[in-house]
Amino acid sequence: MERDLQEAQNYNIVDKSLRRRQFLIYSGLTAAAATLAACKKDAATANTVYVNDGLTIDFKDDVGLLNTLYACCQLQVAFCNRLAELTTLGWTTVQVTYLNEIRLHELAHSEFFKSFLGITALSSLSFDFPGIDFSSRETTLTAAANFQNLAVAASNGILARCTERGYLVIVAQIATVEARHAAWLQEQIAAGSSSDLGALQAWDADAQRSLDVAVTPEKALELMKPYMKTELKIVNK
Amino acid sequence: MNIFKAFASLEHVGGMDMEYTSSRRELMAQFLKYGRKAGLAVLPAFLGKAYGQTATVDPAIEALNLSLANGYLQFHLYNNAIENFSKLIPDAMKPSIIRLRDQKQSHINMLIKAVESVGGTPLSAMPYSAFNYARISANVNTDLNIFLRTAMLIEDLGVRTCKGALPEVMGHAEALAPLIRIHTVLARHAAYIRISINGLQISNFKQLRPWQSNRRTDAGVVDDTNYNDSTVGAYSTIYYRDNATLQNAENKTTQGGVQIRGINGVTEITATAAAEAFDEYLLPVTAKGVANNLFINTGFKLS
Repeated sequence: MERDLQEAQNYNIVDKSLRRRQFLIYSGLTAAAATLAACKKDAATANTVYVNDGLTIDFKDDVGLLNTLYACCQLQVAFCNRLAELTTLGWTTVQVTYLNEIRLHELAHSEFFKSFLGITALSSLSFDFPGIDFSSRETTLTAAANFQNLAVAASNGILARCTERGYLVIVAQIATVEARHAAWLQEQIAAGSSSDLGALQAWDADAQRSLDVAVTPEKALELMKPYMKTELKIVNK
Repeated sequence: MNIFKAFASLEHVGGMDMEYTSSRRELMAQFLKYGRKAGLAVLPAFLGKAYGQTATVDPAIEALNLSLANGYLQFHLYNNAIENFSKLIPDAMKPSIIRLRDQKQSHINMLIKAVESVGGTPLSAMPYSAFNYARISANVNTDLNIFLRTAMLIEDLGVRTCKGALPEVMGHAEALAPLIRIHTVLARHAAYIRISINGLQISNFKQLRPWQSNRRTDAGVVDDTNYNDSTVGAYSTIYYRDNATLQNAENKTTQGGVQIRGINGVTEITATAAAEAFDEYLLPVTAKGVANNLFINTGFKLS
């Protein structure tokens, strides 16, 4: 905790009372969130409190955008966990190593949002993957690349709508990691395919102008929906 | 949300001080009322003018022109190799390198339009001679190993520069939209180059990742204090921090005030995994200095 406070101080904030607030934020907030989430009658109205019931994506401000990316990262974690079970598909050693690293990155993203968003966060969502063929490396890698490209597209759509600089920076820092994941996965499927924007039209890549995928947060949620067992409430679209 | 206003408003909540020794009910009441602000109050200190630059030029124009300069830097490396050194790139790699070159040409065109859309004058076109590609070795155009390693440095700098430019262009939707979608293409390019270097399996790069990471030995031992996986010390500024306050070298493990290493008890998220999961930006002022110092020749340096 002390180290977190030191690092938080490094962000150009040296006020002592702020240190105390940050201690409260990191130590108290998630506990408070768990308690509050259970008290439905304490739930927020639009004008006063913002306590997420765990299922709501509210686009009235940037929190809805961040929750959209949080949902996407949770989906990635669930898929990576599913991939990790497929031990008999004949992966190379490098593929096993890198797939695991991708999984850790997605877990880092997901846990980051859980902590950062605190009581405004979605809860832990459940996923399954109907219609995805897990019987071969090729079909599995294709699904993996699709989910990474979805994450890039969602991030890019979110970046265009962010109103807070700090949140834009965080999303941008995640977006390029997902793009690197997608590139590696695509190279596993077909060498030389990682820069082929023409193959990414499902997420509105523009091959002619060499612009990457981008979908609105609402569309991103629609694309995630087939895999979400939990139904989300989307408000203020 | 003005971060400092949010903090000020937390300070005087109904006359109560935010002491940890408050009763649990009072504590919850505080968070209930100001929960959102409390939860999201700690942002990266990337607050634009915070770095104290007197803005005589619109920062959006500066940032876009800086990205444009990076576009020329990238374009010429590939274009020169394709046009003038036909034996350098192996056949299997040629379609990708040609595509990277073509995409960077498109990006240059988009960035010129973007600068104009915010009322700026685009940088004059920078020729191949504006750039020094021979910093690792003069054999950059005859030795594939050197060519790719040079490309990696330039791509990695490009991603960080573009990322640092994005916040400056907020509020200019017509320029921001293409910049966002150029930024992740650059990351795909960077990954492709890194994958290609790993494919050569040369000494010191046998464990190089598609994602920017800490230095690994060929045996796979990672050093989480060494943020420069290019192995060339002279280029470490590409991977280093803006300043001592931001502490944003590429091996940084905190984001938005949250420690990612071992976050929420997940011990398998090591310092290196935490650092890899988030790519860092470079402030435009820093990125400009790095480009000038490392790659741009006298007579073409960015002012």
